[in-house]
Amino acid sequence: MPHKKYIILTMVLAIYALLNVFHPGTLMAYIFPSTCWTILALATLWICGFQRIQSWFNKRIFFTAALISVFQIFALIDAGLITGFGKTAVSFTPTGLTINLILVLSTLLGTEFSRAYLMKNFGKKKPFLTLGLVTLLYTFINVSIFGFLTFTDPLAFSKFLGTGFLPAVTENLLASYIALLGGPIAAIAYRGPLQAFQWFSPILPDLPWGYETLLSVMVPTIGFVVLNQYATQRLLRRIGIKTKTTKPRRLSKPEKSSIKGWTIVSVLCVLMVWTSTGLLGFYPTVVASGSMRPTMEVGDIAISIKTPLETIKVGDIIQYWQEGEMILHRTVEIRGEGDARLFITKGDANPEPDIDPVQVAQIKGKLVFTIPKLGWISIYIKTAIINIWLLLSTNTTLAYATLTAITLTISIYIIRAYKSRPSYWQRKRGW
Amino acid sequence: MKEKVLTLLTLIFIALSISGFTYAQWNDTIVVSNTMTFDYWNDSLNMGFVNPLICWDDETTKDVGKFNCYYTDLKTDSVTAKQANETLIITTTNAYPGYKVHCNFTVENIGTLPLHINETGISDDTGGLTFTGNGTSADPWIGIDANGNPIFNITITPEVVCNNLSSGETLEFELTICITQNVEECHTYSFQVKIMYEQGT
Repeated sequence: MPHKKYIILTMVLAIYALLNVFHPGTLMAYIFPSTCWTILALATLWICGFQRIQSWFNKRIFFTAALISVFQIFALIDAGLITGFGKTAVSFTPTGLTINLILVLSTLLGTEFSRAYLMKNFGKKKPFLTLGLVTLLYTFINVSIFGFLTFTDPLAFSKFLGTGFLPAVTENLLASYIALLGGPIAAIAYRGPLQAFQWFSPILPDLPWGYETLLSVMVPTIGFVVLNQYATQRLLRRIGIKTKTTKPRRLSKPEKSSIKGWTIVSVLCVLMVWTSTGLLGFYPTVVASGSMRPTMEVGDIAISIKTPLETIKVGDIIQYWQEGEMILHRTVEIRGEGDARLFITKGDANPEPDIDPVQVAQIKGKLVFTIPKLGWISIYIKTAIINIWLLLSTNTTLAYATLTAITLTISIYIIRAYKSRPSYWQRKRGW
Repeated sequence: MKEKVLTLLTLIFIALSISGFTYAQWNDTIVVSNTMTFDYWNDSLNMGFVNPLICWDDETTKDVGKFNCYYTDLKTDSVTAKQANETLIITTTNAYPGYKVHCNFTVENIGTLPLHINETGISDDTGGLTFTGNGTSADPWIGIDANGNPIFNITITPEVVCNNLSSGETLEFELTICITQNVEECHTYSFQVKIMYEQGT
């Protein structure tokens, strides 16, 4: 019956109001939201029927959603490798784990079942409008709408937008689109691993809020664009959105060469990243100080290779970590034996050896050759980034304006990506 | 078709970059810090310092020291829209031996789930001081300078650790700093107090 969709919509709105108004203490803090979401999940299942939910399942969308989720988790872990990790505040006692499992599972089922039902029932006539409205509805379940009214400090508002609102919008936008194309199971495949990582990982990446905003917004945006490619006419017709077929065409010559170009650029980029991180066995480092003059000048690129410690002799230039910095200095003395060896180092331009001896664990490799001047490019880029960052961190208005501009650009990009899909224009022009 | 190939290539590029980068990083070391700002990703669990913050010293007539207390690192819980600060910073300047500063601060659970305070921490980011003790009346924090001299004792009453806070609940504490005989003249000491918490079940 058509009015059933309004029952689910009313229930979602009621839960939104209840969860925003009541914040009960102790065990009720878990029982109350879990009960609300379980009731919603069961109501949707009862109204919709299990067979209908099964019929919405799409294997390709399911796997793509799961891949995007895994990709997002990997991106977060990678960022954590740069910025560090921290212990999660979530309880790992048997009671804590059980309570969290019930809370997360009920919330996930209630959210995704109702989301998919609303998307499927309201989205057939006006998919784009429904996508936007459902996204906003589920965003404001996670992010308080009153949050927008309480700010007096622009920086705090930017932080709230960056760490709360924007990630919630992009995650919900993608989840709603997945729900439209592949039903609740696919949406769970996207949000499930993310929730599991958040609630059941003992350590989490400790990201500065700028990183957090970037990753939490960019990955779902990329995911949306990827998923948009899978929204074929056949799939859209299957879910009830009417389109007309166009003949498949062969790729033209410029298109083929463009793909070749992309492949070459991609491979080069991968190689650059791998090289810079030492994955290929050698470490390129830009010389940033003059302590090794005249052997190495500022702006030279020094290439070091991993080498057995026994082969390092007095006179060799070694690369090592010290107090968070990578240093290249000449070995002037080796004390001790085996793993207890200490390397006394000295910059060629320095009158005295370095105060702190280098331990075996600090050594990254031995210098093999240098490329003159090429490192200046890196130094200029780094300086420019630091200057921009300093400018933004000291000028809150500018930071706020930049964040707004980025948000607008991303929003426009998403809308354009959606609208540039062939089936959108076919429908729009009534082909 | 072209778009799909491009998308696939972009994805492969990103995935390979990340996997290579991850491998290279894990191949070295991974550092797990013992504290973090818990506002990331789990706004259900969120606590911080809130007003009122009231500080005073025992001296009313003599100018035997100055102090400054303030909260910093403001964060907002996205679900409840409540705000709190992550750090309390206390600075004492030009203090003489025996100078005493008191600071009443408040913590609030601004998230939606109950919390349990499991640890407190004190640090001097400038590296000038190290600390011993746990901040209780029985075993106060003692700030020690680079020469190994104790500079001040710090206590928080009532005991902070093992308190539980429901959503929206606040707790008030008093922090007392007592300057010892070894304090350097015309010197400024600054330190940060952090309160670590976990989910209460």
